[in-house]
Amino acid sequence: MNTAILRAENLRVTATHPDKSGDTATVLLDDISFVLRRGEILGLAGQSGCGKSTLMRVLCRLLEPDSGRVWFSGQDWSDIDILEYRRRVCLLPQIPVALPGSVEDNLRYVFDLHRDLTPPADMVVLLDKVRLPRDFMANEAVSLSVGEKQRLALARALALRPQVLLLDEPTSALDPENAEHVTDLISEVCHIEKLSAVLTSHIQQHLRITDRILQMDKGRLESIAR
Amino acid sequence: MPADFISVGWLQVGYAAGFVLVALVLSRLLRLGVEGDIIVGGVRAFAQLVFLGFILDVVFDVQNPWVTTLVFLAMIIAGAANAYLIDTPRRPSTFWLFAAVLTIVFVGVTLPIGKWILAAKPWYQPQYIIPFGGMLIGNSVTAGLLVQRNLGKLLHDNLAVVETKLSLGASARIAAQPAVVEAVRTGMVPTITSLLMVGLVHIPGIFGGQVLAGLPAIEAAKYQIVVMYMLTAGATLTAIGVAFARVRGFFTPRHQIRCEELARLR
Repeated sequence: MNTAILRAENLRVTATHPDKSGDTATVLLDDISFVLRRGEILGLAGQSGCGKSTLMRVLCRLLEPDSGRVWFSGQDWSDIDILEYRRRVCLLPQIPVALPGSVEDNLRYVFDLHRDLTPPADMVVLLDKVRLPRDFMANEAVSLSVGEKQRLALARALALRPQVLLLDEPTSALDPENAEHVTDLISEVCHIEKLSAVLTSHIQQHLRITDRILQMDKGRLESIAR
Repeated sequence: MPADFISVGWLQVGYAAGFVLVALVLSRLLRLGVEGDIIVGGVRAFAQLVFLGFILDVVFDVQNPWVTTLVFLAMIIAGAANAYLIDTPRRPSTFWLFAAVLTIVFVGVTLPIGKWILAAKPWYQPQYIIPFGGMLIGNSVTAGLLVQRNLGKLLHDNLAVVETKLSLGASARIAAQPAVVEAVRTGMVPTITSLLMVGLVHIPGIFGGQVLAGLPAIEAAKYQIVVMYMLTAGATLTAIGVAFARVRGFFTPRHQIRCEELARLR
């Protein structure tokens, strides 16, 4: 639990916007440093627009920071093949995305992409993990509800056998009851699969399953809330 | 010139301009707001075609491979420049990309047609190869521009899906593949539609021109078939070439989407 699986050092991201007086730079992330310990669920709290999603995209390396770097399992991320890194550090975005095709197609996509991953003998075990009904397998993925898509996205991520899950406001689009269920599910899955996770939310209640909470404000890590 | 060929005098060309006047009056009456475009288009079409006629008469008389090559270079440059001017927003890279793709398409399609299919002697005989090349370049520019415009839009519209695939460890090439395929299809739609409609709904230019010039219709049909197949190959090569060249620009070497590039093209 005490060794770091992910260590972010001085991450800084700026965005430039053209306007009348030329290009204006806005700081989205300012000198972000923190450690995610192995097996830990780390909460990231903060109001909408404070930079949580930007930080998650940077940690998954979908967005390159202007400066700073990340260490994964003690290895500088620039020494790791980026596609391999994304398998290990997997992002679940705020709005879950269903890929075209059936639920089964969505799960198979991962195994088609990574031939070295052995698919389970029966794909339904992945649905069991996220408590989606087994008879959903043939359903069109795009026709699922937001909550069901969130579970499918989680199942798809688990198929990758990642070491870190980046969960960006996974409950923000859900009603309170569904949000509670998904929060409990995330906690259960992380413990069973022995995953480390960063969980963001602007609602404190949704961070109850975390071991620690970092507070973000205007692109900076302000304080340790718990 | 065949004996029964009816030559059109400049006066008759002037009378034909009366049809443009009809279009102008209708545009004015119905407040279509295209009067300016009709006038500019009409004048440009007249000037460009008269200029082309004079130049080609000289080129056909000279029968020199280097002169033919020069005409083709000019056509490729004009095609690439038009692609640059039509594309929005304008990007200098469009000129160079189209110049490269059109050159490849010309060398890969028109030259083999002149040498082996028409078997003209000499193979560079300009009255055969220049009209074929001209049609090829015009059609290919249309296909390439359609691909270029649609690729950015498709990637933008499917940004969440593309980024989800990247986050699952897909490479940029794999994540963008559906958008690339769709953009290539879009670029080929006009050419494939022409293939399906030719002879049924519309009589294309080369067929009509040859019939007007007094050639048997079946000879004109054979030429038109060669042209249609050539345009299909040209549009396919251009659409694929432009799509593969352009898609790279939407991603960083680290398989990250260049969102600013997509936003710029929206």
